[in-house]
Amino acid sequence: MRITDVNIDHFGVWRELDVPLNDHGVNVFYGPNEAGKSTLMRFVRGVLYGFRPQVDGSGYSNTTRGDAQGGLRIIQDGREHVIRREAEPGERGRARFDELDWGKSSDARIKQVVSDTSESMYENIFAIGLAELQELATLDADEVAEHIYGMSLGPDGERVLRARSTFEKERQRLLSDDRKAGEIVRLASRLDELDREMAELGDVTDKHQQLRMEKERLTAEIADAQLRRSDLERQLRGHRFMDRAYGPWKRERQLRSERESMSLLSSFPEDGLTRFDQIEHELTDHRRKRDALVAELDKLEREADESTGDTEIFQHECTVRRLGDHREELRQRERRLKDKQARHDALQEKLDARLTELGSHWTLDRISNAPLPSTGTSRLWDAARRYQLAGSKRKRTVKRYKKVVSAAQKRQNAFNERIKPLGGKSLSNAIHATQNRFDDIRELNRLRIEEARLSAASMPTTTRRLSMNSEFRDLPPLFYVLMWFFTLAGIVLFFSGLLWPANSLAGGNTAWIVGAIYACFGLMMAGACWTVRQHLEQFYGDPTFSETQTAFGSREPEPYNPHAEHDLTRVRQAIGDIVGKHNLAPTSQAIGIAGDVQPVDIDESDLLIRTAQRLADLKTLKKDEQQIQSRRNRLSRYREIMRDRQRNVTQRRREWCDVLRDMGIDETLKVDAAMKMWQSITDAHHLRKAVALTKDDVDSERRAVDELKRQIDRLMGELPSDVLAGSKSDPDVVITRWRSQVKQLDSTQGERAKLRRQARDKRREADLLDSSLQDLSTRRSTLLIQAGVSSRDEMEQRMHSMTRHRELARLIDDAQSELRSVTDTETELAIVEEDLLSFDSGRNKQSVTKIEGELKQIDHDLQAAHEEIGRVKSALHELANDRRAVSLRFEREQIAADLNREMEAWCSLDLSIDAVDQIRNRLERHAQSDTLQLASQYLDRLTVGKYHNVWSPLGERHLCIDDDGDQTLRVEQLSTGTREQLFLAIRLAMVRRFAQEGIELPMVLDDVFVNFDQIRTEAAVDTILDFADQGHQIMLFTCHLHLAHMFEAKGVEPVWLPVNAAALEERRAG
Amino acid sequence: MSLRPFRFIHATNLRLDQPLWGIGSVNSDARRIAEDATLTAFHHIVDACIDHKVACLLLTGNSFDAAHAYRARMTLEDACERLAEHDVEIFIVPGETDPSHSWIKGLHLPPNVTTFVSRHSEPVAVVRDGEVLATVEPFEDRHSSAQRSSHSSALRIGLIGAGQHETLQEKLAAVAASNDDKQLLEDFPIAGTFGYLALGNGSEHMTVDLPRGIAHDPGCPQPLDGRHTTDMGCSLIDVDRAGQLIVKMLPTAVVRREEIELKLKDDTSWDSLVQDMQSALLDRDPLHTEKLWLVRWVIEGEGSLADSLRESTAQRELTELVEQELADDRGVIRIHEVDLRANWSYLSNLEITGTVFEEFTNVIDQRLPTHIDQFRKRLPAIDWPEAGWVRHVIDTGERMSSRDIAAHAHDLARQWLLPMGSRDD
Repeated sequence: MRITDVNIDHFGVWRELDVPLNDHGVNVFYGPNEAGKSTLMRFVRGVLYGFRPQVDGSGYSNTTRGDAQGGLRIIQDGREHVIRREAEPGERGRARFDELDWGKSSDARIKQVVSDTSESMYENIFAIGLAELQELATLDADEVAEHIYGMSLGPDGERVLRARSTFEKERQRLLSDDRKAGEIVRLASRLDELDREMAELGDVTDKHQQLRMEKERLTAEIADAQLRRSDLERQLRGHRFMDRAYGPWKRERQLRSERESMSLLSSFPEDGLTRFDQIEHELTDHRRKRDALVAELDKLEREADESTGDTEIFQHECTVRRLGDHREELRQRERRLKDKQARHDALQEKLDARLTELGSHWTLDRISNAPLPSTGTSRLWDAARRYQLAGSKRKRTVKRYKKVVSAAQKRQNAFNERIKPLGGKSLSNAIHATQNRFDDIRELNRLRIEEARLSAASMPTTTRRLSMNSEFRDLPPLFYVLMWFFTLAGIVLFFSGLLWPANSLAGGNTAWIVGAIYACFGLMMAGACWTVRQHLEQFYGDPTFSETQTAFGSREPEPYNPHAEHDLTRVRQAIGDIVGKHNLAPTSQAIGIAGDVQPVDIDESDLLIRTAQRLADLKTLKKDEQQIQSRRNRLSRYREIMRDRQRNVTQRRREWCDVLRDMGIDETLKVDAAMKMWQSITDAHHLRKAVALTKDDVDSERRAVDELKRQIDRLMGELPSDVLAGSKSDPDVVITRWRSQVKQLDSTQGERAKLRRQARDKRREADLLDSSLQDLSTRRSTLLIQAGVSSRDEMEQRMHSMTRHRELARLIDDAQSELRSVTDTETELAIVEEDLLSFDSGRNKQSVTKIEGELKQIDHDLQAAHEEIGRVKSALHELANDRRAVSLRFEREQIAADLNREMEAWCSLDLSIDAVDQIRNRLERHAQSDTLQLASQYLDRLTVGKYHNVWSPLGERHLCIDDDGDQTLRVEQLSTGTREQLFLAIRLAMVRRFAQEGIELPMVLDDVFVNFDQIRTEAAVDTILDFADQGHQIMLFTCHLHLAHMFEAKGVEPVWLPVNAAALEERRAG
Repeated sequence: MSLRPFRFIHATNLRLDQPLWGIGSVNSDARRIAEDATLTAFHHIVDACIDHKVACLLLTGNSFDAAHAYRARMTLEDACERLAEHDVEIFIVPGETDPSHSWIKGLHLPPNVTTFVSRHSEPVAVVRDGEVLATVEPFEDRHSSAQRSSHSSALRIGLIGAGQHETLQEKLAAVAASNDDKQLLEDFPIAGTFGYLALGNGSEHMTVDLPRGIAHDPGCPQPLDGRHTTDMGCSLIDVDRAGQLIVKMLPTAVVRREEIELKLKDDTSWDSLVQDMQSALLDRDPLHTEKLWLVRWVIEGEGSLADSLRESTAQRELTELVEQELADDRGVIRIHEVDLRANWSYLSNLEITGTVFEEFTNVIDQRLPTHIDQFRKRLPAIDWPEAGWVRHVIDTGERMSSRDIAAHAHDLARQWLLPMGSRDD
């Protein structure tokens, strides 16, 4: 926005003032003091932001509208506008923008004109007088300060400031400035406390070492005492040992001397007296036993002699025994005879019954004369089998013949029916005629084709078509052979299947299944043959199949032949001959149109097919005829076979009858009856032989019985009457009684033998006792010799000496044992005989008493030492279990680690703060905001290079200035003029920044150079002019003529304000 | 060469009875496990020696801290007695924390223990049934040492304690990374004469092939710091007839530290987060030696769920829910820690050239080494109050890790100075 004209109706001292301005550059208003320069400046501000109540009495009155009224003509965005404002009571005046209504709409538009810049900012930045320039506070207002301080360092500065602050706080947390508080102090203090506590606990290691040394000392003392005690105990043991050993040693010594004084026979038996008494006792006893045995022996011999018995009974022993044997054998034979007789009777009954069955004409003699069953049976079976086989063969042949005859008859009838149309002509002639006709028609067909070909050859572009020539193809003979083979095989298998089970009824149960499978297979083969034949006949019977079409289809067009016409005529003549020969009436269709390429005559083709079929039928008939003839031949052969079969049957029947006759059987053709009769004859034959054999056997048995009876009678006669004892007729009674007597005699004889044996035994015993008595006497003598005595008394005396000697030995052993037990208790001590010899019991006891006293003292010392070492061990144990030192050390280490970490953090923070300060310093010096950088440039010009840098410390609201000696000065340290130059430079910079941001307002300066010296004033003029050249509008008010002249000299014509007398008077009056 | 097959176990850096770092505040059970972790791990080694019927146990330094060796010594003595009962020989070389004098005084070790307190100790033979299986000696970078070996058919074992022959150990570590041992053998030809070179640094499980065998570091049985424990322990070495060595790592650690990263998506809910955490836990099987898991959940993401998790109570509720619903019976106590981080996944696609982030990180990288030195020098000069704790601050300053400081500074940069962080929104 630029002001082009200031128009004041009434404002302060000004009435009807109209001042045109340059729309850019510097407008210098010169007027003496109280000329109304400041009023003019307030007017401009009042039009833009509203009139303020006048405080000094020189302004307008807000009581009436006409007290303040005027306007500004401005240019904005190339368009000219007029802003007028009039004072309003109680308000800051009403405004009108161009032709808009007074009031809000105009106010809003005016607000846009000033780019929403606040009045305070306008007063602090754009419209300043000397008073504003001299006060720093005008730059500390939030809206202005934000541009100078807040935004001065950007995001980096913000981060640096924040980091610096945080680091400092953290450092304070770790250690305060007075170094009396903080985490480090706390941790270090705790560490110190722990050290003190550990010191109070003492050096555990040393304590432990002392205790261990004490323990070792005590252990050594105990060991020494124990060693001493051990020595004393050993001495004590020695004394006690001597005391205990002396008694036994002395006793042994005395006993040994006594034993040595005794003389003894070394060979004297120790148990000699006992043995002597025992031998004497045994001698007495044996003698008594021997006498008793001799007496008993005599008695037994007497008794044996007395018991002899009747021995005559043994004279008839042999006879009686034979009688008994014969009697037993007789009973057995009589029993066998009875059995044989019963069997013979049974066989006889069977034989009679069989003869009855055979008939009255069959007798035993006839049976006897009949052939042997072994030969007759086989002969009869052979004849019967041959006869039956011949009969069955004949039967089958007849049956087969009948079937063949029937089939031949049927076929003959059919054949006759089929040859009837021939009218009595032979079949061969008919076939010959039909064959000729077929050949001619086929030749006609060929000629037709030739005709067509020749026609085509005579007409080069003609298209052709060839007809298919059908030809009957008969089935190959191999097919019929195979077909009949399968058919006949099927039939044979079928009947075989049917017959198989009949022949094997007595045999396998699965034979009929095989037969059924054969039958089914045969039927299947027959059916398959019939079907294949039907199919092939139909296939080959199709006339379209008879010609090879491919030959025609692939045929190339005939080349043009100039001689074809002649050949064509010849062919057509041949065709005519054939047609005439067989009376084949030509039709348009059959012959076709001359020159046309229709090579096939349809009627001729049908004729050809029919002829072929007829020829085939005739050939079939010919074959049937041949087959019928063949059947006839077969029938002849069958009849011959039948005759042979009949002859065979007759011969076999004759043989069968001969066999029957030879065997005596009634002639019959019934094989079964003949076989049954033969079976009966055979049975009778066998029975007859068995009866004869049994009869002989019964007879011989009976003869043996009679003989035995005779022998028994003879033996009975030989026995005396006393043996018979009245039982002359009953041999059994005789034998029984005799046996009783023999038994009694045997008993008496056994008793005597027993007595004899006893007597022998007693004698042997007596002999043994005699021998024993002899032996005992010898042993008694030997014993006396061994003992060196001659009697038992001497031996007894010698025995007493031996007993004493043994007692002395035992006593010596006891003494030695006692001495050994004493020495065993003290294995370390040895018996020295010299010591024992010089042993004094009294002295020994004194030594024992003395040693025991000394041991008691050592035990007491040891107990004290053990108690002491127990205390030391307890102390060591307590020390081992005392974890206080460990716990303190552990805690100390943790605290030390924490302190170390915090110290590192402190060091790090210290370094970080230094680094941040370094960065901050750089930022403050070299990365200030654009405003301060511009301000530095303006200050440099205004101060003619004396002060070149203006900057603001981070986070602080004050300015620092670096002079040409790089000395930094605060604002307070600057002179008034320099401070005003600094503030002017900052405002110029801010106006420049605002302009860059699109906020363009004219800058109004009211005598701001008054404190500038001449040089800096000129520098300021130049700066202002340059500033104006950059597009800024400046309204500079001054009351100093030299300043006006300075601008005038620079080509800026000042506006010479008139001396306002009214204003002057008004001020003077007020 | 035909050897009699045998086995031995190599362990190093036992650090017996030394407290684990960074466990934080845990319940009594977990704390007791953590306090005894190094001792329990050593028990596992002893058990392994007995179970595998080894011929000998090699301990290559840093077995305990000489300053606090009370429980360590007791444990060591008991273990050696126990191994003596099973006819297992023990060969020990001192390390940094357990120098030679600490082994000489105050330890009552049975005869099956050989402590190479001098570098010039003679080789000791491992004998079974009258047959020499191996000779053990401290590594000595002199040719005379190589010539001392008289049992040519036996395996020659060299021991390098923790902190000893650092140049060689560093080169071996480099060779393990590059597989180029040419320079190594030129510098240390003597290393090639050993069949088994037992390294003692225990920083990581590594094996380097040597001309006649291998150099091996089994790693730490129970790392004190936050290193992963699953790939460390002790090593069981099988020596076959041909002299081939087969190394098998046996886990021993009791306390396992797991850092599990999870990313919150837009559709991630509380329940799905719990499920993801449970799945992540179930995917990891505890080793049979482990009793305590320290699980650090690094959850990246932003949004309402992330905001809700910033509260410690919410984090505790989350981990309690995970444990409550997991309720498995794997016999491991789990302690959870939640580290909520912003999602830096967009960082790879972010243009940071010329930003204050880049400038900051550059300044950090450039000034960090000198800054730490200056910081350490400045610490004593600070006007501290008269208090005993000050010395701890100064001492701790000496132990600070430049890597952790740099990581912390970079975290700060990512959190506060990235151009398009959530905090700019």
